[in-house]
Amino acid sequence: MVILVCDDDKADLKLFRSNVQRSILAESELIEVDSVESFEAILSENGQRIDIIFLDNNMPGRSGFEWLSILRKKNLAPIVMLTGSGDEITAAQAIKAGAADYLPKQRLDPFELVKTINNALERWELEKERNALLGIAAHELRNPLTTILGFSYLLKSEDFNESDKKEIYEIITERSEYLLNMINKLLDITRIDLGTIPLEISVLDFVGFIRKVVHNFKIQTERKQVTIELKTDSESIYLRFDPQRMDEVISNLIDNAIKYSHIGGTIILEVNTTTNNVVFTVRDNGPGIKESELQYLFKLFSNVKVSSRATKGEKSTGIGLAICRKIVHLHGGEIEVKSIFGEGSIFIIKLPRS
Amino acid sequence: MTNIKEKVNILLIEDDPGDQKLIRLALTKSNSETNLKIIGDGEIAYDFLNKLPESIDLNLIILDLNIPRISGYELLDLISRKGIKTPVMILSTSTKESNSNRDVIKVAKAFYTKPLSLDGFHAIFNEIFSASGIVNSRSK
Repeated sequence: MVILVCDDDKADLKLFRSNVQRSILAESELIEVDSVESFEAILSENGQRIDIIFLDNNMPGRSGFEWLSILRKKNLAPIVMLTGSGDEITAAQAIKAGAADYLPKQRLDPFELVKTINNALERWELEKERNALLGIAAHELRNPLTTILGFSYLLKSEDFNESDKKEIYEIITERSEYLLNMINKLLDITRIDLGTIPLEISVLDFVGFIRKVVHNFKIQTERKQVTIELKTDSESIYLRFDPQRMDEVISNLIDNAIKYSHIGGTIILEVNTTTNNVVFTVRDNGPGIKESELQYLFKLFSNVKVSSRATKGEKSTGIGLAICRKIVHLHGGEIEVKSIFGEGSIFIIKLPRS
Repeated sequence: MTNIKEKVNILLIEDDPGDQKLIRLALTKSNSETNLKIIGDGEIAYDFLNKLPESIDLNLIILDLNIPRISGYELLDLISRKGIKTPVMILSTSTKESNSNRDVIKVAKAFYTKPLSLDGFHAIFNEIFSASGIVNSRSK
């Protein structure tokens, strides 16, 4: 780990160094900045390597907050403000101005140091992830909107025959529905995260439930000439689950399996019981997923990272599997995926029997 | 304004059926007769460009940077390496790309951001074709 510490007090720097050396981070590289003059040069030389920055509130030349603001703009690493004792007001201001955390110098010991570093790094990662996600969300929402707008401009400035018009309206409608669907799913995931949609648990036959869900895909399977087979080790398995939420999960997996099946393909569903779990699998023989991309599959906007595409150009929001995982977790279960690139994918859900 | 009735051959690399339709319609409203070939997959586009004979009469490539399987940048790179002289018009939703990637996009003659407005489209169209000798403009 590379730690940058900005402090003009030689004694304090020495103390800081000794704390790092006595901690589990003793192997870290410590870069020390003690003057405004050396600051820029050190930053431009080492900026990209720095993992965390400790900044003394009383630096010469500029106020601690000016330093904070400069460092914040460079967006190199999380910044921890080193404050005097009992200076809670400065500490609060520092957090407001973008510091990841603060550490009163009097409390500095190897244990506090490591704890502070871990917290700051965690917050930094979360912030980075949130910003990236916002960027992707904006991009994913903008794409269909640009198509809608493009057609609106076109309709405004040109005359079209009836058949072209009909096609334009269909595309506008389809894109708008896609957008609405994506926004609804995003709201859904937020609600699940906030816990505002509690599960409504019933005791139902899981096999019968699966049969019913499969039935809803009649038109889609016919259109793509895909066959769905259901295999099970018992005719009925009673299980506690929220049928509405579980419908979302199972439907999503079947919908994906159809999208990623080649025309004439077969999808195999299996429901089996083990001592503790009911195991539900969905197997398709579509294009599969590259091993290096499997890690993104259950994350939001997986479609941005996963290169496999539906076989007939069907659209996906990249949100569905993230919702599936959250719902399965709410049920105390697990979801996983296995895939051989070029041969197909298997999604496995394990739900606890009790 | 002049209109030369000459067939303009255009290659559109775009996977979104809606956007394909949008461009096709926009082109029918231009005054030139256009031949539009559409490729919706990065790898197929790569193969196509890679095997493109020098003698082919291709007047414009319209490229969506965000296509499946191979990125639009790789295609631009190929166009540059192969020395394909056809102007490339880039479709992208991101205004950021148009600013930050100007250096990357050395071969592209024009940069365009969606949404496609007809006037903007024709302005770029005219610019490309007046440079390449084909006049394609329309009077309003």
